[in-house]
Amino acid sequence: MARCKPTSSKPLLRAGQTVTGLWHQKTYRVEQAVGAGAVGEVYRVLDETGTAYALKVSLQSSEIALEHRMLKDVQGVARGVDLGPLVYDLDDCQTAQGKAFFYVMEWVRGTTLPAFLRMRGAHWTPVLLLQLSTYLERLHAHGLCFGDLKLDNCLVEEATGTLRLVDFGGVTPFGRGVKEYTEWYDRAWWGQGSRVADAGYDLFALSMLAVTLLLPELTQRTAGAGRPDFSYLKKYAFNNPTVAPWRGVLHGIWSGRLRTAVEVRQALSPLVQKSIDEEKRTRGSARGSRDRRAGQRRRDWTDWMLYGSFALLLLVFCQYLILG
Amino acid sequence: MWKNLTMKQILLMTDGCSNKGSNPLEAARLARSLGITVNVIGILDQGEYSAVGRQEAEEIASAGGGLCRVVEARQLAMTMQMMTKHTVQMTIQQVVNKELRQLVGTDVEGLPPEKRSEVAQMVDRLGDEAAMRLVLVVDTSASMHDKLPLVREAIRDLQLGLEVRQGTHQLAILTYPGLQGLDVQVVSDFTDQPDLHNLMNMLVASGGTPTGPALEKATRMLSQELLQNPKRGGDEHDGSMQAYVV
Repeated sequence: MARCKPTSSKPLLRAGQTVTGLWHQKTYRVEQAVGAGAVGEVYRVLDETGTAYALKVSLQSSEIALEHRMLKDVQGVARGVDLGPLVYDLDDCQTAQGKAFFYVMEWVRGTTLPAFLRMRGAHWTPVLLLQLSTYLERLHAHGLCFGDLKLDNCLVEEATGTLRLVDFGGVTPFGRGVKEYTEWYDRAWWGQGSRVADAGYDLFALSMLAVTLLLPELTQRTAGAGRPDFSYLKKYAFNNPTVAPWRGVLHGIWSGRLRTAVEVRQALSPLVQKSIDEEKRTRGSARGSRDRRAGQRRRDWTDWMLYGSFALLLLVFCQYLILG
Repeated sequence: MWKNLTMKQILLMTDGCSNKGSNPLEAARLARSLGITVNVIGILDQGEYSAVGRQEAEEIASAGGGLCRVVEARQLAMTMQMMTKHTVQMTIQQVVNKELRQLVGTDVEGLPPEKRSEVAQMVDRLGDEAAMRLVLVVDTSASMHDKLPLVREAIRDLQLGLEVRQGTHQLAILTYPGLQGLDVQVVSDFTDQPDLHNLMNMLVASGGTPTGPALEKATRMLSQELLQNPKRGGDEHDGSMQAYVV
């Protein structure tokens, strides 16, 4: 069973080919590869009606079976919040490398967090983290740790600013060892706790996600440097003016004062309030200067959609702040 | 049978070919026959790995019934975790498949996809609860010297992963070549938390790369109990599973 692979091996599927499920006979047309991990590869595909989906395929049947099952369980946990991608078909197929196993899930549209923040402004950061805290709270209430929380597993829909989590491969029940992790976000790697799945594990990952958004240069500096130095990271972060409004939240998570996703959400609310004010200012002045340039008063539909959806989004999440 | 299940693995880390001592393939074959899986990690040297070395690594893993990967030193931690976990899963999966074939005439992949998750969950749980005895065999020949700090960090990280398993683990560390002209050095005997400080003291200026003898030593350490207590436990399965029962 040995196979000496270089770090990148041959892909299982090709763009343009058709995949047919051996059990359910559904066909999918492969559009393009979108990612590959340790377990399998993800492709964008079209079904018979031309609707886009994400298809995850692997040579390991157990991983596909477990992930599909986890996504289905999460759908039960979601209760109206778009927690995870919806899952559809689960099947086997023939590939150039033999029998493979796949499942089909919702194609989540969106850009990465850094790209979104560049487009809309850094003041959106608290709003995005608020959404994440809400998802985590929902998962934790059901004894599940997300596990592999990182930038790569988050997408933001450009028009509405809605954040979606993708890749639930690391979801682990509380008490077990986290099954998939990434060093930068891993509490144990930084020497700040164990790799046991619990609420604190996700909150630490959330704090590191915040750090990588606020101080992207820091991620580069600590990569591959041998034993990671958390006190250096803390010092660098707390001495940096960009991080000043975030001190309370970060210190709260790192000291253990903020123990639950609910508490983190509450700690984020003053920052979110400032985001709303900033968005009002930005929208107002942008529209004003554009109208002056155009020489007449013009109603721009994108304006209203963005401003309106921002407010609506906050209203939806604010209900958790009031009730939660 | 599940209660006594102990996973025995040798994880070999090298950056090149063996050039001294007995044939490492034979050593790997012997290990496998005793129920020990031999996995191999080849560590790239500035993106390079000799074709001969790659072939040898693949053959050792194949003879040892395990996996082979050639990676950068900074990917060691993740690779070690992945390989040890994967090996455990494969071992249990094989046993489960055998049971399934006897019960329903097919292995797990013959079941409809929707029915597989429960089997997969059981295999996952059993893998997490199984006792593990792992020997890390680390090449400390001259070319490995600048990679050893990363090897040490990777082992530290592997320990973090082993600690959170439900099952117990015992980890031993060997380096080769050894000090004072010996082929192999025991840096740490079986313990749940080996002291890694000594690892850096195992750097040797010369001594070749005696991979075969190192694998043999690891095999002896892992099969101690088997040699002392053959055929322990009332196991109704055939002889091939006997090696897994301690």
